Amino acid sequence: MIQVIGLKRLIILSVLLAFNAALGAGLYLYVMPENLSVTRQLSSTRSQVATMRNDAQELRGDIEQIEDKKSYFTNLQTVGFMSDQNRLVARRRIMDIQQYSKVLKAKYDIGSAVVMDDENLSNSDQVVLSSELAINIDAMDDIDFYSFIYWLRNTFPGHVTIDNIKMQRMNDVNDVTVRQIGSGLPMTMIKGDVSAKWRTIVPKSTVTDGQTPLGQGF
Amino acid sequence: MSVSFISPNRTVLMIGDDALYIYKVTARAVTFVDDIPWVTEGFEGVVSDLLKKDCGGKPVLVLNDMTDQHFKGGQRMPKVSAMDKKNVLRRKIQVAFPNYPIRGALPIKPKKGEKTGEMYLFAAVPMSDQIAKTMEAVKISLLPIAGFVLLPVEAADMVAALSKKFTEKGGQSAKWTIFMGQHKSGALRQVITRDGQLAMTRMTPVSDINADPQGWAADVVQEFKATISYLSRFGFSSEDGTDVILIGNPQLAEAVESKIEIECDFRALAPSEAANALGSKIGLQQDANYADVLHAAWAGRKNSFALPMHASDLDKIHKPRQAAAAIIFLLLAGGAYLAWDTGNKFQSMMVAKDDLKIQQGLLVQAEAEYREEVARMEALGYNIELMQDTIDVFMSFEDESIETLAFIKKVGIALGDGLRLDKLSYQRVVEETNAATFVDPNAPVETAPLVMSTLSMSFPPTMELENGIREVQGLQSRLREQFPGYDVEIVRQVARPEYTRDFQGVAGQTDQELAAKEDYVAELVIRGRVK
Repeated sequence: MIQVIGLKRLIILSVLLAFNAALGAGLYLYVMPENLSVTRQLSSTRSQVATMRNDAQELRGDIEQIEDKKSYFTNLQTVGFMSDQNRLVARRRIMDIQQYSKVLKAKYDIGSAVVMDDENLSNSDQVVLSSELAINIDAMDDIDFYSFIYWLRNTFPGHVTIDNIKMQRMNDVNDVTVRQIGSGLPMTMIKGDVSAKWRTIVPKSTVTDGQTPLGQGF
Repeated sequence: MSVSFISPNRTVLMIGDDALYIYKVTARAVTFVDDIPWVTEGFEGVVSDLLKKDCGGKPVLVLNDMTDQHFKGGQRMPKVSAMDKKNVLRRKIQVAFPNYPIRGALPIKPKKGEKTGEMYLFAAVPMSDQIAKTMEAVKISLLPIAGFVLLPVEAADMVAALSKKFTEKGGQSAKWTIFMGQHKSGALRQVITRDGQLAMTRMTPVSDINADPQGWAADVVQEFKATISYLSRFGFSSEDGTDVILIGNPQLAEAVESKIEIECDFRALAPSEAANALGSKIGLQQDANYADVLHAAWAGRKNSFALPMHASDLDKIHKPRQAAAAIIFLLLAGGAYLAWDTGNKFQSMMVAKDDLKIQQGLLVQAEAEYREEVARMEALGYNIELMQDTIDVFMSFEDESIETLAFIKKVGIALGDGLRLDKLSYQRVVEETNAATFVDPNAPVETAPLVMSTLSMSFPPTMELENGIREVQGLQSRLREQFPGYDVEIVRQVARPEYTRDFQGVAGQTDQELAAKEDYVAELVIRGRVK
C-alpha cells in the first residue's frame, strides 16, 4: 500500500487523522461538556440572582406592608384577637361591661370552643377558635341594653359577631314603676337575649399538640 | 476550449511509438519538458524524477498517441435496465477486445432522425512495453493519475471546435473535417471527424517539417490523398462539405493546398494560432511547427474526458490514490469543520464563563441585599405572614358581621317620637343551599349577610283603629326610606282587617266592650341583605 500511495501521502493521512482525532477529542471530551457545565452554572446562577432579587424585593414589600399594618396588627394583638379564649378573662370582661353599661343583670353562657380551619390562615399555621356566646340581659332602659351590645362588640377580647338579638319591653313607665325605681329597687323594664360568636386565632400547634382533634370542643 | 481559472494543472505524458513526451500544462502555457526514448536505461526512475521535480508533482494524464490503437464503431447496446447497462457494456467491450486489457466505450450521437438505439465506439489498447513502463514510472512517482486517454478520441472535439470556429457566421458546418499535424516523433497524425464525431484516425511517418519542408509538404499531400481514398469507403463525398486543417508552418500552406484536388475549405495554422482560435494559450514554443503541443494543451486542460480508458493495472494505482486523495479531502474538510465548531463552542464557552463571573458578582450583591432586608425584617420583629393572615381573617369576620346598633338606630329614627316597640328581634338568616336549584355559575356571588328583623308594637285601646292602621302604614313607609333595598312587610296589621282571615263581631256593644275585644297589636318584618 505504501508503494502505491506513498509515504508522504500516508504521513499526511496520519497527521490529518491525528489532527481530527485530537480536535474531536478536545471538542467532545472537553469543550462541549465544559460548555454545557458552564452554561448550566450560568443558568443556575442567573436563576439564583433573579430569585434572590425577587426575594429581596418581596421582603422590601413586606417591610413596607409591616410598616403600614403593624399598628393595626398590634391593635388586634392588644384586643386579644390572638388569644386562647381564657374564660376567666371573658368573665371579668362581661362583668366590666355590665357595670359600665349599667344593665341590671347579664347572665351569660359561653359554649366550648370549636377549632376551625380558615383558608385565610393557611400561610401562618393558625386556626380559629370559635365559641357560641349567649347572654340574657335585664335592663331598666333600652339604652343600657344597646350600650351593653356596643361594649360587647368593641371591648370583648377577640372578635364578636352578633347573630341574634331579642328585646322585649317588660313594663310600662307608670306611677308604680316610677315609685319603685325611685325607692332604689331595681326594676327590670327591658329583657333581652343576645346570641353571638366569639372568635380568636391561635397557633395550630397549640391545638394539635393538646390532642384535641380539629372541629371538636376545646 | 476556453481557458478558465479552474483549468487543472497537469503533467501530460504523451506515449509515442519512439519515446515518451512529457508536457507541463498550466492555464497559461504548455511547456515541453522532455522526451524520453523507451530504450533509456532506468527509464522509470528518470521519468519519475522528471514528474516529481521538473513537473512539480502535478497529477498525471497519460495521452496515448501510439499507432497501435483499436476501434470498433457502431456497437449497438441491447435494451437493458439502467442498473444492468454498465455491466452489459463492460461485457460487450470485453467480448469485442478479449486480448486488450485497456478498454473504453464512447457513446455516439445518433444522426438527426435516426432511431438506432444507443450506439458506442469501442476502443482498446494492447498492453505494450511502452505502456507498462509509463505506468511503472507513474507508480514510482506516487503522483495522482488524472486518467488514461487516447489522443485521437480526445482531439475529436478540438477538431470539431476548430471547424466550427472557421465556419462563417450563419453558414452550415462542414460534414467532414480532416485535421493534420506532425508530432515531435515525426509522424503525421490525422484526425478525421464526421458531424463532429471521430470517424477515422491515421498515424503515418512523414519528412520532418523543419529539415525538409518541401518533402514534408509532398508527404502530407500524399497522406491526405490516401486518407481521402480510405474515407470514400465510409461514404465520403466532397459535396457534403469538407474542412481541412493543417497544423504546421503556414508558409508551406500553398505548397499543400495547391495539390489538394478535392473541393474543401483549407486552412493552415501554426499551433499557437490554432490555440488562439480555440481560446487557449500554449505560450512560446521552441518547435513552433509541431502539433502535439496543441493536443497536450487540449487534453491536459479538460475537466472531463470523452473516453477515459479502464485497465486493471491502472486501477490498482489509480483507485488507492484516488481513495487516499478523497480521504485526505474528507479529513481536511472534517478537520476544518471540527476546528470551526471547536472555535465557535470554545468562544461561546469563554463568553459563558465571562457571563458567569458577572452573574456570580451579581449574586453576591443580591445576597448582600437580601441579607440586609432580612436584617431589617428581623429588626421589625414581625412575622409578615402571621400579620397578613391575622388581618385578613379579622377583616373577613368583619365583613360577615352586621352593625346591629346602626340597624336599630335606623329603626328608632323611623319610629319617631310617637311610636314605641314592645318587642324587637334581629337575627342573621342562615341561608341553606338547595342542591336541586340551578345556580348560574356566572351570576355574582352574594356574600353580604341576610338579616331579618321583626318589630312588634301595640296601640292603646282608646285609639281609633283606622288611625292605628295609618300609623303602621306610615311606619312601613318610613322604614322603607331608612332601609332602601330591604323588604319591609306588615305581617300583622292593627285589628287584622285582611280579607284572608275570618272576622266576627257583635253590633250594639259599648265602646269599652268593643275595645276589649279588638286587636291593637301590629308586627312588621324587615328583611334584606346588609349593604
